Amino acid sequence: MSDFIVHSEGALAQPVGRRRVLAWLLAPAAAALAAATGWPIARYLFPAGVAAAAAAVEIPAREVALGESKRFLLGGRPAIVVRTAQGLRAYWGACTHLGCLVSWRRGRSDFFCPCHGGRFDVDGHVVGGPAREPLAPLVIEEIGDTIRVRTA
Amino acid sequence: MSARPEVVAEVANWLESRAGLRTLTRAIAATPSGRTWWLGATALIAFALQVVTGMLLLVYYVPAPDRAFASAQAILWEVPFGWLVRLAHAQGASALLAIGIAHTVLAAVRADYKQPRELVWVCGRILTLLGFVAALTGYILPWSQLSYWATTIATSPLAKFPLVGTTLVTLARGGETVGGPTLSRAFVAHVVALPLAAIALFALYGRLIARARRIEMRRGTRAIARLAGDPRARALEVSMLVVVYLAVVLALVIYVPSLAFPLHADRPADPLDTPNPIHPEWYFLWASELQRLIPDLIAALPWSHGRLAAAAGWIGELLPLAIIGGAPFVLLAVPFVDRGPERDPRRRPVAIAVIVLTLASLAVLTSLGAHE
Repeated sequence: MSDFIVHSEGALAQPVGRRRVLAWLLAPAAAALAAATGWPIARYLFPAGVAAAAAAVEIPAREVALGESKRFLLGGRPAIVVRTAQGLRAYWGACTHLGCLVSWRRGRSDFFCPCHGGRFDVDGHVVGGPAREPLAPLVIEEIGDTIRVRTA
Repeated sequence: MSARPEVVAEVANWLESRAGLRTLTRAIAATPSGRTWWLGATALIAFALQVVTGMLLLVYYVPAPDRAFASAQAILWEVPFGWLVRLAHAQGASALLAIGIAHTVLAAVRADYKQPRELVWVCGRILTLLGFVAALTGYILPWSQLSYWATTIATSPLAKFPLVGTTLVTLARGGETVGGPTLSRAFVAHVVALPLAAIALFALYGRLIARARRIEMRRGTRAIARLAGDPRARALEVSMLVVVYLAVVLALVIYVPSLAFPLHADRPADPLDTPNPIHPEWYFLWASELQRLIPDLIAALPWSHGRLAAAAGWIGELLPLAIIGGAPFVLLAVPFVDRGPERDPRRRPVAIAVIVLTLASLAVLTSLGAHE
């Protein structure tokens, strides 16, 4: 406050001017400092190496009987495989709504999410509940008595 | 008091001359207060109990995914009176949120957000919202099945943001899915960041409300229940509040311990199995039910099928999330929307109707969610 008073009186204008220049210099310096520290902090908080790598898993075919399903981890993420009358299907196991795991309901031939009641048909399409995106499919190969599931 | 040895009196006087604590407590006690000052005071007491029980839990709790569940179980079953500390912390959290909700409703009914109290409301509401964030971040720490899946559900909506969605989820979880890094992040927020923010906001709240009251007294716009309190009378009232609050929490611990230990809280986190059925805590039941109800209602509409099916899908998924995510901002905006001078509930039919409708909807959703 006193700076402004001194300035308005006209006397001792010089120190006020010097202070003002310093204030002008301080603003960009503070901004540069904020950017220089903000960026490392943001990078520090953002986890390194989260890019999803291609992955494959082999499952003994006898573990997935007709009408049955099996959950497994593929590259650290939950996935599900089911053997239906139409053949084998495999999807990422997380419901596309809020990420709970869907389970195969044999009697109704659908994938059901217990969290908010999302439902998907055998081809992964939404048939009910809050989800909008279909289940994301995985690639399946059945070689002999082994089921090989890999990322698309 | 008169029989106090001289030495004690001298030490007290010396302390007072250097620290001036008596002057401070007198000033606080003499602050004019409204009729319901006890509700906010109880929120502060409830927060203090969380800090104390939280520190005690930290003596044995280990925030690592392979040890968190076991250490939390050990507190419950092995540490002497560990069950009391853990249950008091869990039930205290529920009680603290109940107080925050009651405080919000009361302030809304009495229009305690109108000038000069706009910032008092904003500060109080931020504190209440931080309570909800603390409930979420605390929920993950025991690393149970409930912890794991509640955290998955709570962090997934971030992915729906356009462009930055995936980045936000990764930042919140410390990885693609909920895991050890998520536990560390929640731990830092729950144990360091949130309590520090709450302490700062409680202090700011005290300052803001004292200022607002002084303005109101000067203008004579608002009745003050008591102008100046006798510090001893105020100390007695606060002590009674502490006793009553502790008795309520103890009653919750003894008579309804299951409230703090719902289904699936006794099983360690399993990323390969989502419990079925799964329910959130009572304070989030409305949000969970909203996500079931709105898509069902929209699907029931005749135009939701043909050409507009895609649009109906968007609305069904995003509307509940938008309502839940937008609610805090609506709450914070209240003082800047409803700006009329009238404070008497009997002469604010629109505001009261909004409050009653909101509470009724929340009650219905909560009830539906509880019976899901």
